[in-house]
Amino acid sequence: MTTTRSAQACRRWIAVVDDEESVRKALHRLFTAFDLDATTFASGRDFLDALPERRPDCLVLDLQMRAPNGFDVLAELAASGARLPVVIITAHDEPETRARCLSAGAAAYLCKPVHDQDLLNAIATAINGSAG
Amino acid sequence: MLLVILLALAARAPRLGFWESYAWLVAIVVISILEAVLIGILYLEWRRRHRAERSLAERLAFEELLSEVHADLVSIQTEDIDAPVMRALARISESLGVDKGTLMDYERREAGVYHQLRWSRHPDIPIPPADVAGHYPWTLARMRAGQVNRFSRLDELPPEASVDRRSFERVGTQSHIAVPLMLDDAVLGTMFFATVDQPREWPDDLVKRLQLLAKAFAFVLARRRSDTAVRESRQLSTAIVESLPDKVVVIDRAGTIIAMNERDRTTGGSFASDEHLGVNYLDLWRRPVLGGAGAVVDVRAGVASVLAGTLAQFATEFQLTDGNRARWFEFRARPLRRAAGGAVLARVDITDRKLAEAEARSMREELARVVRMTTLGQLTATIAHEVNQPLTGIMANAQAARKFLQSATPNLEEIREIIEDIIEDDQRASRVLQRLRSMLRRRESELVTIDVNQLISDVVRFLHSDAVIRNVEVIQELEPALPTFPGDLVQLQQVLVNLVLNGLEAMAGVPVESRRILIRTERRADALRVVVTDSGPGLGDKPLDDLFELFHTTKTDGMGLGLPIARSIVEAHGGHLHASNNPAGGATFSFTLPLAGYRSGVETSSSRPSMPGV
Repeated sequence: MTTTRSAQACRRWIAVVDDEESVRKALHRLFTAFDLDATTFASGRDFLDALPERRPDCLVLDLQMRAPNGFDVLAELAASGARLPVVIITAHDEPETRARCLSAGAAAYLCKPVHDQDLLNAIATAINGSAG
Repeated sequence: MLLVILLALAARAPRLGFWESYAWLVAIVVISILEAVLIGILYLEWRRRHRAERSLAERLAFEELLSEVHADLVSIQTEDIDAPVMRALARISESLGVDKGTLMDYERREAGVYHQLRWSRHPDIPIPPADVAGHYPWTLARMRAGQVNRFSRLDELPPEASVDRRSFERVGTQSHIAVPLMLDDAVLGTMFFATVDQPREWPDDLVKRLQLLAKAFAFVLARRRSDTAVRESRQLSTAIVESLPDKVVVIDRAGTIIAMNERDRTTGGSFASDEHLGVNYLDLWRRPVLGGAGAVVDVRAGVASVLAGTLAQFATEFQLTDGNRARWFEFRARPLRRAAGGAVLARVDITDRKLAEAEARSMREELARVVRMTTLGQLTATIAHEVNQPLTGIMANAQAARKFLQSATPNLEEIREIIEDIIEDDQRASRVLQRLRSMLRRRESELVTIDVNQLISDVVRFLHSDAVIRNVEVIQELEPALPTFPGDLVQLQQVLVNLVLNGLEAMAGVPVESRRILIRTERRADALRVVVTDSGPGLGDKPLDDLFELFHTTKTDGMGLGLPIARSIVEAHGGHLHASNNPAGGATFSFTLPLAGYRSGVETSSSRPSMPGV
């Protein structure tokens, strides 16, 4: 788990779950570059275990992972009633997968490789949507 | 004269009484009688001596005859014994003073009639019928039993020989003697003699002498028999070797060619040809030849190992160029099973088979490529994941770097690290593309050393995304430390991808929690076994072999090529692919892979990096 946190309380805190280290590292850098705090998790289980300690403002979640995969994490979040804004980023873009994620409570569904502005906008929208 | 003197004395004497007058006459008569008796004794003695001399002369003549016959018979060639035996028979018959002589060989028999050599004093003497069994049954039975059979007059024949007697009468036979030709206890033939003009005695000493001659003839017949057996056995061996479709060369322990059926010389000097008898075979193979998969075959070393006993058998395939045409040969060397050692080498031209194999292989490879292309279409999740993951890293890193550079004091160390990571991701992406390209490439079979567990792990990793998308758990139960074998990596990966993908797709309608694929490996005696079990709906009640028919499919978007190609790939590796329904539901596909590998006996090239293919 890698965490960067700014001293400013208003800074958003993003959790990233992806089983691929190079992706975690790159996304972490990207969020840092845009003044966001980021914590990365190598598996859905690591994230779910850490969730009771502190709730992120937004979760950036990969789908294709060893169990629990992205769907499982979404399902557990829904079951726990966490109402956490989730942005799905996946390499596999299929209409039915997109529909499945959105109906399972995901705020956005983006395809890898993801453009920085698209991702930041989706995160902002997700956070605002959940706040609103 | 003595009588005249006595009579003169009597005439001169005075008249006396009878006794006085005739006493001298009586004396004279007595003396005369004594004289006659003496003369008689002398005559008898002369006759006895004469007879003894004759007997001695006869014996000497016989000894001479015996030694001549022996000398003549001992040196004859057994391929043609008839002429010298006939000569000997004539000499004996003439020396015996008989009218007919016959020698019968029980080994040689044509149309039920024993081979006979016949001599007769002159052409007018009637020839007895050749069918001895029919005309002389009693005589033949005694001859076959090894008994001496003789009669001096026909009257001596017993009543049970009535058929024989009539036959003898018909040809005017007066006396007859038959002596068996015996060696140890075996009766090999009979020689018999007969007179037609007059009866004749066959005394015992003559029989003994004839028996000595019979021994000489028996020896000739026995030699002819054994030589014939040897010759026939040799002819049979030669005929067998000559009839073999393979070209066969037999060499002794030192490698010298001692026999062959090789006659063609179309392939240049590499093979032995008829002028090579006596040449050392190993010298013909100084240069190694080209075997399968570009491997070099050292025939000379292989044959030498068989001769030395360090190799139980040497078998290989290789090609030779005859003009512009490459010809393929299968070659085997096996030890010659005899005390003096040596080896039997056989080769057969398998060019036609190789061409047919190559054609079938190229068709299979083309089909397999088509199937890989279609399979790639099915593996959208996997391919998207494989390609997009590194691109995601590159994109995020590049955008982060751009952002960092906008600051007044950019952290150049951070940017350097980012660039390193971008390069690494880029390399990873190009490896993925390379891998995909290799799957779609039109290529010939490439044999490498296969570690089947590694292959399975690679394929499972490759299909990971698809398994995740389909919520299927893939479990590997791999027996550790399995031996490796030569095989075509891309093709075997294709088999496994096909089986796993079928399993993934089959479980679409199964509750998420029970979607499971188990891949097991295990060691068999000379093979490895791979078992892929799914928890899907199973294969139904239709004959399972239909699954492997071309264009048989249960999928809406399937072509029905995957399983037939998978089976043909496994079979090309010498194994078998089977399908079955699990007792507890689901399907199991299992295949064996012999450790001998792809088209066994073919050398393998060096290993290349593991490359999951579909």
